[in-house]
Amino acid sequence: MVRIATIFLWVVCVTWPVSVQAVAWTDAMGRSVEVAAMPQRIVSLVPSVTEILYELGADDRLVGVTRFCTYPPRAANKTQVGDYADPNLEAVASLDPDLVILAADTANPALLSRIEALGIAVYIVYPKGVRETIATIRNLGRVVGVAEAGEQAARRLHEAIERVRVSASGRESPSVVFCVMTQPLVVAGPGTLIDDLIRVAGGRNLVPPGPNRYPTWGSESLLTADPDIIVISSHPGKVDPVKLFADWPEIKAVRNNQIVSIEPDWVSRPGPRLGLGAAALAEAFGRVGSKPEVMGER
Amino acid sequence: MITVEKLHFSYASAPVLQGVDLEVRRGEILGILGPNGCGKSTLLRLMRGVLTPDQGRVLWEKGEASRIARKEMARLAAVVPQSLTLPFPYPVREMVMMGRFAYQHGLTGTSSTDQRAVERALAVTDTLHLQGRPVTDLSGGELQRVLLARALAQETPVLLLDEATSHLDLDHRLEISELLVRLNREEQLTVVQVSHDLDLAAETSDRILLLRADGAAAAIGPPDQVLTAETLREVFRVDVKVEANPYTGAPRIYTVGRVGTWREASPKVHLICGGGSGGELLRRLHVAGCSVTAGPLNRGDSDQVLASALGLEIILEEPFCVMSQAALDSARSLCMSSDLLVVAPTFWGSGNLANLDLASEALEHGIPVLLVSPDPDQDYIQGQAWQKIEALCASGGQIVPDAEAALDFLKQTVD
Amino acid sequence: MSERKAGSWLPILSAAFVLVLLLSLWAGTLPLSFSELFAVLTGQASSPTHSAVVLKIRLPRVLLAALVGAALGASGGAFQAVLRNPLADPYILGVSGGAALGAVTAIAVGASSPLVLPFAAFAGALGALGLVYWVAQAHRGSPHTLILSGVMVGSLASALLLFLLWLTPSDPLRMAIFWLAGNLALADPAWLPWLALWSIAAFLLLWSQSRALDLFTQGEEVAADLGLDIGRARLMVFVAAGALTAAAVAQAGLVGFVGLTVPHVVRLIWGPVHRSLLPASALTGAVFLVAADALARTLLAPAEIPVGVVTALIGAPFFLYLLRKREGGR
Repeated sequence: MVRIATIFLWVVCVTWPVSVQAVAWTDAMGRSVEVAAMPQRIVSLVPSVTEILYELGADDRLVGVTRFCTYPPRAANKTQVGDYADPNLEAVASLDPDLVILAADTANPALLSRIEALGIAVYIVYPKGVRETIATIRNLGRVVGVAEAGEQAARRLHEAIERVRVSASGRESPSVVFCVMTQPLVVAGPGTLIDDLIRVAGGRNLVPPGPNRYPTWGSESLLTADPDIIVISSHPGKVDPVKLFADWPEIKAVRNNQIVSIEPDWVSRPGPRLGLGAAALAEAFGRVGSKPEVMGER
Repeated sequence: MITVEKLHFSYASAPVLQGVDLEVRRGEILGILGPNGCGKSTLLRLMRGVLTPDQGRVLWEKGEASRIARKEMARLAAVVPQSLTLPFPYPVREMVMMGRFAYQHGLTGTSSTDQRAVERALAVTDTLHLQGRPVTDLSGGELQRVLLARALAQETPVLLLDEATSHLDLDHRLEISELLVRLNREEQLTVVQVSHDLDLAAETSDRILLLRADGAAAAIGPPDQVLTAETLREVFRVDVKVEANPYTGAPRIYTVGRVGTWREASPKVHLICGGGSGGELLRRLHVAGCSVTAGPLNRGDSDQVLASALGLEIILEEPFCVMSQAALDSARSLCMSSDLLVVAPTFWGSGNLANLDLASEALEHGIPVLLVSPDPDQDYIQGQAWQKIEALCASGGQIVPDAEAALDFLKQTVD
Repeated sequence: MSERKAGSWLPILSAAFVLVLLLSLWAGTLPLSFSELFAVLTGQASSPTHSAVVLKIRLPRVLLAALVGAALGASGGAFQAVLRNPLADPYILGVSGGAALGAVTAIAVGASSPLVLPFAAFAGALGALGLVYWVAQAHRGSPHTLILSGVMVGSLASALLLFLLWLTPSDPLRMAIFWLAGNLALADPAWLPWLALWSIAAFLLLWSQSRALDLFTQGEEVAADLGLDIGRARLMVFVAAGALTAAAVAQAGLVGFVGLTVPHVVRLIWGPVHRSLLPASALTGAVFLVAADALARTLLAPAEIPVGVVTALIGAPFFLYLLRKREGGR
């Protein structure tokens, strides 16, 4: 099937050397985008999209990435065009791309219209939750012309997530506060990808809905919330998370030594590695049920 | 009390004071007068050591002014400035209390001596009733009295006034002057006042130092010796009459000879000049209200440039030429319709010699001719010009020293 | 300004401070009744969480807010006098830019520990202030030159700061942004006693210059004529007010609006005499920042609003009201 399509495309390319046949897609913003059936020069302005394109084996057609596209490590060898929100447009244009991929939550309308003004097709993704991430993987497969690989990768993530969901079901649901930053304390609230993953992993996010999806908390709010487990995913590196909360034995999670660090990219990048994040969370939540004394002896 | 010796001072490169000598005597009121920019205020700053002289020195009993600590100086001399912009609404009493800074230490409260000094200063300056008011709400006269009160609260033997009353109404000005005279008599307060007001300074000062525009002392002494018509004319470049005030005997200065001197039509004056010789004459005659004409003048001559700038009627001649008959004829007709012909101390050569013939023609027609300080050394054609000048003098031409004298002559003849 | 009114600041502000202190200890995410608060304060708390929240979280934070507010209020008053400008604030002389640059440098090189940050901010603040003073000294330190060189040093610092932020990876960057907006949650309570000692010493030095500050408002020549050694007095005020501002900024970041509004309001109500203006501004600054922080902690609890937003939201309208009222009263 793929071979037939490829041969067909090759024929098309040879007979129609000027205009490659284009396909119209509807992106996450509901825009209709005309993209070459097999885009050859792709620029990804989204780190998670870069990960997905590698997962789909489309990386040979990826010509430009942001300076934050750090995974897989060899992605750093690609030409970098700057920030995701504020890329160098000249760098983008000089790569002569036939497709640029943006994320709705990191880019802005002005950036979109400036790239479109260059006559380049722009496809926008918006993977705000686990379900949307799976859909994004599937859609990206189609858009870049590897629909089958996309379907498989989407299914793999879906299955990984379901495995976690099943393993966590029936277990007592621990209360969780997830810190994306510790100084000051910034926590993940409802409506975030992390909130979604906590639910998948069988936890209960204690952060209430509010105007800010990532609100800043004082220590007092943490004491008042009194979670069973505190998850930290931040890069400061130097600060030992356990030591950070050692002053607050009033918090259950501190008393019971339930402070867990998780690789930030596993939970904050809506890509194939979300499964790892969900599994790590589920494992940590599973340990909460076990006796604290056992944890203390370890 | 304060000795000022051979004081020189300049800002950047512009000299302000040049070799001023002065002895301020204990218990006197010394007035410092002079045109704008002559360094009156600078002299006051040098006297209190805020500025350091370039040459010469200011000596107090305790040493050189600029070496005396600020606090010490604030107990020797208090200053009343011309005015003050006040960004903060201090109550009057607090403002006057600032005068006691030199007697206070750190956070220690105000002593009863401080309180007494402030009360007295408020009472003497008639500002006691204002003491609770914010200074930002005061009128100009009230504020000036408060500033004087603050200076008095410093209880210094010397008071320095830097045009302290110059923008006040007459009644307030007189009131403060009277207060100063009283303090001077009753408490032997030494006062040095810089002023613009010649009459008031003459009334209230024991002695007056008159500074010239170039920052040198023109005269120093009792008012009636310093404020003479000649000195004032030299210093201020205005024509004045000085009379004694019939009530106080102090000299009173009346300005005369300014714009609007002539009741009827302004007199017509033709000026023969060139090479910069006529500049001052042109300006003074024009400013005094004469209708001035000049020429013939070569194009580009500095007198021509000035005359054109003043908008005067002039006869033009091309540069470096012997005068043309046409130009001479036009000049002649201007001359003959003038009330007065003035010959400036220009350099004489074959090119402009014809002008002197024009002058003798004018004399014959009964038009008076004034020769402003003629000089045989300016004759460049072997005495031909000087001969003609002597002839002019013999047939009625008069020699005058400067523009002022020419104006005096004009007033006597025309009015 | 009657004598009675001028002397009324101490009882009024002391009462306000005690009231705000109690309210601020009482208010927070954890609901607490006044009797429970009283129990905690008298050492008879029934729940360890109650006493932890009040004594370990709220109290250090309230004290920090009080010290920072007092420092900014007093130094603001002093800078306004030296610069003869009622609209000057403690940050005008490049202090904020310098402190921010120092702190963000520390954050950017990864030294985000609460031990390093205050030192870096402090060094940056004093460095900038020193530079401003040194430049202005060439022109006898006139207020005009001081403000100009302050603005220039501030611009230079913020340009370097932006460059540094651009170089910095995203995570430490976010911390820097929180710090720049003013944040009372980042300080380590262990610093409190030192901050208190430092601030009190600097305040006393500043207070000892009250009369000099009064004289400064009259213009430098007049001040010199009244007996003030301008150079020495200005240096003392700079050292003392600079030390206060730098310490406050080092602990709490750039909390805006306190140093500008508080002395101005105090001057409008109790007059400009610095003997009382400085302590009254310190107390008012403390009351203001403690109250603002209590609001920041409770308005959207459990989330916290940046305290700088609250100070501006309360400060600016109040300031406008006072201006309007005073102008209308004339």
